[in-house]
Amino acid sequence: MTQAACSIPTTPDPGGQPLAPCPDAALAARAAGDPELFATLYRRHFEPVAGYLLRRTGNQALAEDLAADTFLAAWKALPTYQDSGIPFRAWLLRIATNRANAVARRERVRRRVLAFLAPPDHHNPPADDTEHLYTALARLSAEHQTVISLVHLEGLSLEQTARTLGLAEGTVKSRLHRAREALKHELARTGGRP
Amino acid sequence: MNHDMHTTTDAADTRMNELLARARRRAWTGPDHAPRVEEHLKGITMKEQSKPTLTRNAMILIGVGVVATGSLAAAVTRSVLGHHATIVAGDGQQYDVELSETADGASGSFVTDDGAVYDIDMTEQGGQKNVTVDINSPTGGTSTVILDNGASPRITTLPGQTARIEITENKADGQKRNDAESDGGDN
Repeated sequence: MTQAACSIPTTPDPGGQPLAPCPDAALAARAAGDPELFATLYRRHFEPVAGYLLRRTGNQALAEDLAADTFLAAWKALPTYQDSGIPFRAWLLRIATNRANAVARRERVRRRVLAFLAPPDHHNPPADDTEHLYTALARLSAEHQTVISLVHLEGLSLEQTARTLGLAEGTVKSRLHRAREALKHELARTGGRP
Repeated sequence: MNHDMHTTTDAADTRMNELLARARRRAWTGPDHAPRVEEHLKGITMKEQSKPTLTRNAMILIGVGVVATGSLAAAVTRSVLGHHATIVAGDGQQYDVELSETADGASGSFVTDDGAVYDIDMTEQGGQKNVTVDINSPTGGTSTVILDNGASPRITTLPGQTARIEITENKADGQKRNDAESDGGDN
């Protein structure tokens, strides 16, 4: 099997062409236990991962915090990366998704407790479309939030989503269908326009 | 009645798709780094400062860490074609090295975990292809370059020596000349 490697130029490049960047897989294969190599991966992927978490949660501060958690978890889990058999970005998204799901589950419990103590005021509709969407999304199960986020907010295909989550494509397809129905229902229920 | 139901469903779908499309356009505008992560990695780096850092300093991001017993034993370079070189380590693992373009060919460097530096320089003029592989090994060892025709000049270095393997390939008559020499402890 051929693995990609990095090189450094021995002579100045007159054309000014940058070297081909080191592939993620090559870096990840060597980065376990090497913080400097891992930092290269972290710098490369921080913003995309933070962006995914922003679109998933709708909350920048939370996304920033979860992105940091994701990379710290990735650093610890890096020795197991190669066993995952998926691209590095997908592996990071899987970790980020797990982190976001944990928060989503806690938030659902918290909301149920609050609803029990003080029923929600249905006469107070969401302030804008963005809040409306995220209010509705937050009411879905973590699994439904996940497929909606990966497919509709990240633009992953069903196959890519399945690989990221380690699920069969058919499972993702049926889960997405149910998630869309649930979201539609929540959008109608949580106010704003239909 | 059914027509009204479909209309309502379509409108709800459209509305939902609009909201999702809008959310999808949200880009990250926050910081491009996480201080918590950087502090953690920095802390680990500081703990490891006593370890050799040649490979890290060179920013070669993958090394032939599998080279037997920390030497260059049985590490080979072969198939230097175009802008790629393939380094085959002692255990058979292959590493694809990207070469950057130079005025008359391509060149690149590769550093192994044990600090050996492979400088690969390829030039091609008038159908004659010259490949030079300079090997600077702090530990000494043996290296081989293998050509497509199976020729494999081999060179052994002592610790600290610089070795050089030159291969000249003339496409016109198909003859190949392989030289191997050691610079004899000039480091």
